[in-house]
Amino acid sequence: MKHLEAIAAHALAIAATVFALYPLFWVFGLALSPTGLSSDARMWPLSSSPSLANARALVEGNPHFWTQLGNSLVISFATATVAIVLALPASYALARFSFLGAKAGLRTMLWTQMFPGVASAVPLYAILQTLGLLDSRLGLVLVYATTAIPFAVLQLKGAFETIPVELEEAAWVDGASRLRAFITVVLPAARPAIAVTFLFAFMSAWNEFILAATLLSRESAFTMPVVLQRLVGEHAARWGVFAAGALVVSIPVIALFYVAQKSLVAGLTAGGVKG
Amino acid sequence: MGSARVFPAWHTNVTHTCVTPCVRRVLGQSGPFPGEAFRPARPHAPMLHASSSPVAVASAPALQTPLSVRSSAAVGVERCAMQNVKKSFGTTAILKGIDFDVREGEFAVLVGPSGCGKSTTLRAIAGLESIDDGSVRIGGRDVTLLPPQERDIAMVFQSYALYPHLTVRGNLAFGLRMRKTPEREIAARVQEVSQMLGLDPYLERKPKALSGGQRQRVAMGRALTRRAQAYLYDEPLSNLDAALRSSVRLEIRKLHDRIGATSIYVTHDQVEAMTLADRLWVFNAGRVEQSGPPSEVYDHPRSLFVARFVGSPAMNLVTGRVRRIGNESRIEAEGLSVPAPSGLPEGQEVVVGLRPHDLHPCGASERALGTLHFDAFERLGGELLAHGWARASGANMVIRLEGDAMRKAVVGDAMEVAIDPERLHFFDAASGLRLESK
Repeated sequence: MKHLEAIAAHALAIAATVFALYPLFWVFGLALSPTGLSSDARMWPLSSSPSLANARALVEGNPHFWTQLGNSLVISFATATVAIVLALPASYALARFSFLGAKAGLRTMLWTQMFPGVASAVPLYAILQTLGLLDSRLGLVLVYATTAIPFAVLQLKGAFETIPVELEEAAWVDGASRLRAFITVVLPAARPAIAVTFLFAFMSAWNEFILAATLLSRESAFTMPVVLQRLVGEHAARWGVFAAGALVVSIPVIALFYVAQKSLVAGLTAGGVKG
Repeated sequence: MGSARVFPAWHTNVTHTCVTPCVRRVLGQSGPFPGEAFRPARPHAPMLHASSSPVAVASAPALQTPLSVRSSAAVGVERCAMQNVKKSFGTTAILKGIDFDVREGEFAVLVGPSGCGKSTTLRAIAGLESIDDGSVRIGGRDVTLLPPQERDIAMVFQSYALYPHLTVRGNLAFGLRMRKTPEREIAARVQEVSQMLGLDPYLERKPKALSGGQRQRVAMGRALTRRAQAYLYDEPLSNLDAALRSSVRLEIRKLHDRIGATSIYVTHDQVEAMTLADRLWVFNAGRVEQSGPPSEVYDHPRSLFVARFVGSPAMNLVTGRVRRIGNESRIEAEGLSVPAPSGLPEGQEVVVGLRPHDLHPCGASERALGTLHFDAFERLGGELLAHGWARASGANMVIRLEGDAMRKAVVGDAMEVAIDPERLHFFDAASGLRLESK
């Protein structure tokens, strides 16, 4: 009976995995196919003669490729870092102190999360134009940070609330100032939540397309989502190159997940992610 | 391992021959102290209940004043004191004027039911809670406005509050690192404390890999590595099982004596309080109801509240009125008849307190108080707690039986009981305050 249950459970898990991974397998097959045709529909997507022609076309056919990849990396890291650095003190204050405007501030941050970024595309364009920050990495970091910071504050506030106040009190009694206790005791205890928040902020910037497409017009300023979109144009769809690009875009995210795996699991199970 | 080697110079068992003016003020004395020398041994001195009048009713204001005036615990240099400390949360007054003093080497226990203000008092000493009025002194300094890190105290929390990301070694060393102690000294002190508490095998483990008892010891160790003015304990045993609790309790007391620390310990467990304290501070509704050595508080509870709270099983309390029978004044209380203290007017309503341990089967030469009818037993092995009543509608009474009386006792039986009249307690039914007779 137990064996049957185990077999059924495994079968279900395998089916779910195949269901989830099959499209990815297709992308993988497409990237390695010499023709790069999407109409070349088969059950088994891997070509009998795999080639790196698509990857080569992606890199060599685009003189700005490395700059554009760099744009994406720098903008995403900067967004996540700015969000975390600013959200840490803000969320700690909201979690530990009650002060005038705390509730209103929190509610406002929640509201900002309700509107899609595209709703503010036009005013943002106008602001960046005035500041002379169109087509710049700094401009996009500022724009992304406006949504990443409230998100990070809400996330980290929840995390700080789960850390017992006694831990800090013990540190104060042991001779630490409030700031020192925050750095030496609270931050390490919140590390899983900080890792999760950083990753989410990074990914939202990494994957963002609409604002990037609106605010960037110079090709060397593009981020990867814009680059990928340009590969599938109105007149010609280079699916093979697109697939190769999609894989390249996935690598940093996969790498980050891998590095932060341990913290992520702890963060997810410790209520670091809510909603 | 000798204590002198373990704690070379951080804690000294000083014999004091002088008392600071502040202590004199708190104690309300101006003349020389009789026997000012402080001994670290538990100083349960004789009771100070002398009263010149035949019947002394403690007045209500007396209960609100520092009762340390009456206590006779060791007299050393003041280590930690509070004067008229008040604290409210919103409109709820938590501390209503706490006066408190602990002397060097003393083990003070703050005891009381939940919500009585004992933990808030401890947190106010630590600086974790601000106070609305009054002052706090530690080591002779006014620390009322200082943050916790500048008060030079160490604290053991109820939840232990071990730093989860640090190993046991890291936890033990944390306080010293914060105070920029040289690494060599840190290593030496961690080594000493870990040896003393048997933590050597766990030094490289994280707290989550420890059992409850081990965590408790790490929490103690973290406090003990420091050379603090006072060690504060906030119900440190409440998360342990009963067996562990009693052994750790003993360890805490031994450690305190060994290192000559000054300890302030908060608990709601009166057994813990009785066994640990040099001086007990019984809290009730934000006030100190009584303070003094445990035996004094046990033998002479100053109010019905203290009488009910201190002692296990609790004191039997029966209410009656003073009556004159011939030449004798007696109190007839719920089926029992006890001699009344001299000087009480006839008809006065009095609550009589009888400790279960003081009641015994009536001997041939004794006068019985009354007859107890047993309706339930608690057998504890070496002794028996027999529950019963003296009058069907009267209060539940408990008597402790041992030896032959215990073996012969049967539920449903009746037994004539007696008590040494010296062991009777009387309280004014209206005010709840103790009535003394001499």
